[in-house]
Amino acid sequence: MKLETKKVEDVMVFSLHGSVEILNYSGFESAIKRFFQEEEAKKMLLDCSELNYLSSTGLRIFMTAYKEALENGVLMVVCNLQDTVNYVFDVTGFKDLLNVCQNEEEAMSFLKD
Amino acid sequence: MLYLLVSTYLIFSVLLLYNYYLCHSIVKKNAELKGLAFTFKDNDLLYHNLLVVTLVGFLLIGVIFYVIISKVTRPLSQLADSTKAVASGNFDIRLPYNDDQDEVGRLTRSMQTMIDRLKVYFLKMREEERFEGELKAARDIQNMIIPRNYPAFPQISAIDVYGKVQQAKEVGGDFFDYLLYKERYLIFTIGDASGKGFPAALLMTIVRTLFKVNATSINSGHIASKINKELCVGNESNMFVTMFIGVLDSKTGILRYTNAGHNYPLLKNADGSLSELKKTHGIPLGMLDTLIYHYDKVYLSPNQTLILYTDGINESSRGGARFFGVDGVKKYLQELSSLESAQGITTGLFDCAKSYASGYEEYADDVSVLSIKYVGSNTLMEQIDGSLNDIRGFQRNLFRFCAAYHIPKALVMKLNLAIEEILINIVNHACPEKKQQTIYIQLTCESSEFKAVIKNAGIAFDVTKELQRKAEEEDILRIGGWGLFLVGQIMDRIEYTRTGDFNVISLFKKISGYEIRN
Repeated sequence: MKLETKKVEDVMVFSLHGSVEILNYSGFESAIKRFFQEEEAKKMLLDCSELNYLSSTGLRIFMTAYKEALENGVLMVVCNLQDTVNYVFDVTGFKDLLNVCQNEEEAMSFLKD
Repeated sequence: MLYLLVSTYLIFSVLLLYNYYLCHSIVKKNAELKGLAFTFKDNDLLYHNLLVVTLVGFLLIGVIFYVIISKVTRPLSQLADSTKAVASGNFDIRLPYNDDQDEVGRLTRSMQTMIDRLKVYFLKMREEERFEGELKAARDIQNMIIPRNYPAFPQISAIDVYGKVQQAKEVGGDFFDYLLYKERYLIFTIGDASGKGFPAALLMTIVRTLFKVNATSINSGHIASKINKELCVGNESNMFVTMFIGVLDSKTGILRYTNAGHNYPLLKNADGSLSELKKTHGIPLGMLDTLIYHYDKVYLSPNQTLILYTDGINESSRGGARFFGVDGVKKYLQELSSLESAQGITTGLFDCAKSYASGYEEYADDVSVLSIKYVGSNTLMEQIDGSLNDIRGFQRNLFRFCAAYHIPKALVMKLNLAIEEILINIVNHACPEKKQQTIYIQLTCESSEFKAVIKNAGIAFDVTKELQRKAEEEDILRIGGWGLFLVGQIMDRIEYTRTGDFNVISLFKKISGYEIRN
């Protein structure tokens, strides 16, 4: 899995590539943790357009991030869920729990409100 | 002849006696006419003269006849004896020299000439007979080293292989061969040694032996490189061989192949269409010893057939430039049913090319065809050690397995996810002290149902009870524990049994709108 980070205005955008799976999520986990410790920004976007696979291990990270965000008063949005990832979010109820948007524009406007 | 001479002799003798008698009676008559009493005593002189003349006549005639007999009949009887000896196969006999101009002399000389010629002729015949015998033996040996027993590997039902070769002359340079490596990989080759007849046959025998010896790797490039190197040693006559080497994994359908200057093999796909393996990895073997040959990889799906042939097929000719051609090969295979067996395809293509050239010079070149059908299996058996690499490797096979059964991709991803969750669960929990452990997986597709059986030795863990618990879990904000929940969501049915020291988990999923192909 590859992780790209960029800042668009006051929003921290994480772009996830490949698949968050068994043993390769540590990069993602530490990046998220660093974000909560160091960043001032109170808004974050997880762009999953390039994320093509997600197992329960990956879900674990989304949940960790979500809990951290709640504690730190950060608004977290997830967008561009692809087939399998979308399915996993659906059946686990994550879709109802997290703020999920169709695409980046929708997510940005959601974050601005 | 002898009888004739003897009877002539007797007639002469009778004539002499008669002459004697006549003389005797004339003298007697004369004496009587003169009124004299005739007695032999009176005529002693006359009597003696007559007797001497008669006896000398006898003797003379006897001598003359003896001379004639020995002059004529002896060479003739000798000739008769010689003929008998010649008839019994002795051509070394010499007739007594006879330069007479008579019939016997001429007959003797022509007999001698005849015997000499017969001798030469028979020696040539014997030589030819010996050569024919050797040729037949050579052909038998060559036929012997080309595989002929089918089915080739009754124990490997996933692979159906059939080959056929016909040399233009008694022996030739075309060959194919295959063997089973590690009871799993079919290593096969088809080749065409340069030239025809005996030189090609000798080269082909060498190459085939090198193939047998070096077919000890699943890397076909490796095998080709090794054969090439050995073939180049002392190859001053610059003989070479075009060769295609393939390694087919009977469990996964993965085909690794190396093409050294051979014509492109064809793939008859399960849907009936045709494709070509258009990759070449180097010039023919035996030309350049520094060459390293690489390989390419394709996946054969169930009921896909690889068809290899030598140029004798496409160069089957109706005279001139009217060749059967690669197009002819393709056309024939295109129209063939994809359900055709390897034997059906091989013999069909063979006969088709033959009938094309029928009436012309059939098979001016050596011809061979080798078909390998990947029948596949509705079961995939895997054994992994629980490492990430192994799980990744298994997942690739899972995708191929599902693709072979036309399971929609979205569903495949879910099946993959469910199985992965189970595997991770086993790695993390069943044997916590050591992460590496053997897990057995068996995938089956039958009656529109996908089934995965996962087996591992470890702490008893009833996954169905845990699932029940997870489904009732109400803490939506829990961080972990989603894996088994996902499995439960994805699969239709999950079963657990404890067999000896093994946990056996079976996952089931109906696949609608899906048909199993044989």
